[in-house]
Amino acid sequence: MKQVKCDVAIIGSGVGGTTSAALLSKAGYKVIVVEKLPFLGGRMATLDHHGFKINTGAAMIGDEIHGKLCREVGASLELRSPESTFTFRFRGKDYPSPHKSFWKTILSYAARDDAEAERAYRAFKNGIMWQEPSYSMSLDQWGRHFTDNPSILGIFHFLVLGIGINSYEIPAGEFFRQITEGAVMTWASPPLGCGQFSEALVGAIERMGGEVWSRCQALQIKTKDGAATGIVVQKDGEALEITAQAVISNAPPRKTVELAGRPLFDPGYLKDAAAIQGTPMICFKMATDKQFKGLEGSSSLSLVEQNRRIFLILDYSSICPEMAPKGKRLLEAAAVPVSIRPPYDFKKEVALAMQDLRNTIPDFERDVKILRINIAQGDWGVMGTLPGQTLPIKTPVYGLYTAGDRSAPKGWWCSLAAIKSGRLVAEDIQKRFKPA
Amino acid sequence: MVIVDAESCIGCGICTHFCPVDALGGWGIIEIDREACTDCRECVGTCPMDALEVKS
Repeated sequence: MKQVKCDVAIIGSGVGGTTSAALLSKAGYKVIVVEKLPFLGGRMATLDHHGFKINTGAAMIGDEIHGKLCREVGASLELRSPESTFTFRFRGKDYPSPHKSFWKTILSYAARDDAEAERAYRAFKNGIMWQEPSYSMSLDQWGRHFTDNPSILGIFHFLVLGIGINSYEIPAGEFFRQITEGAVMTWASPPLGCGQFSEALVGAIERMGGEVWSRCQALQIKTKDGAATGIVVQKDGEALEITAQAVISNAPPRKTVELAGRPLFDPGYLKDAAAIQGTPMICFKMATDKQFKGLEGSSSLSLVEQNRRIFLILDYSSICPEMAPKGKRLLEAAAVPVSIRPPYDFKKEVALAMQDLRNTIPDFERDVKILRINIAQGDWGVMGTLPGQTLPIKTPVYGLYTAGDRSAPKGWWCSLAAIKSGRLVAEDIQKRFKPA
Repeated sequence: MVIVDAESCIGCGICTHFCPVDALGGWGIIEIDREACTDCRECVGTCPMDALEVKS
């Protein structure tokens, strides 16, 4: 078998893989990233559909975490924040997303009177500044403890739907930790979609001497005496061994276990790895010629309580007209199934969401063309794991790490979690292994 | 002939971007338009879940 050498071999070009690869390249390590798919970035990629730029996963990223990483590794990335506001719809009435005092203002929109707004805000502030609510109750249970107002409960529900989970399924503590740990204040998109973030990182890795190979499937994680020594991949129809001091897997944990061999993992790790499960979402990618009534002057419509499934309609074109052919607009609507745990009845879920779209967008049938209805679930979930249920970055195999949103600390979510995890892996590698 | 393993397909739609004749579609789980499919096999290897298989 042919052999090549590097310091760190990385399986998967998702955010966890590219983040650790870019940081390690900057620190002087020779990295090789292998990706089985024909495109790079995993759930942080953008693919073309007749001139429409379709994100494979992430719809928005933030300057505080994504932008900062790019600056750190010398990757150039343009980010556009929505100039127009996000609109929140409560009980059929539209409110602009507050620029200042977000929580206080949004809770006051939902409250029936000042006393109720004050009570809700105090409870929320307590959870942030004083005591983190328990992981033993859901966010919805926490909310019902101080209010029965469906609009207030709807705000919390809406905010977690964005990460593919219902408020009655996320631990209250996890929600609060997400705000205190992994919060992003300004959301933005690169002009041609979130895939440009992955492209920027890959460009930086390659400039610093690293390699990133697509259409290259990992066949095996090689070990010797319980320690990782490299990987075997299929490249251009041939098996190739990449020897390395450390291996990072950005693949789902079950896949990582399979690649290295089950006997190397203790029963506890196997049990935790088996429990990892992605969260589902149905995304309607839609085209229209004009912005519909209710979304004029705004970049998204957040439907807080009135709909059965659709909770958000995003108009990419208001931020990035480049994402649609001239004269067209690209919209995305999102829905989360009634329960995030399988089995799902997607036929029924799609039908309910379609009904919501007809109710929300005037002349939906006439003005809007559905390009695709994409489903995220399982290993291709919105989040790679249920909130708070993650694995450590280290596996029982010495020198074998896992990076990605499935192995981030509590309170980190989606691509923010993947970046956090990639950073932790890169830091640990620098402590233990020196570049050759 | 390319077939979709309905057990593995999750309906993510990734493969639809790689078909030169738009033969892959369906809302949710992928369906192949047999009339349009030219059996070029461009789609094989584009599925994150390995749900597209060649069957003779």
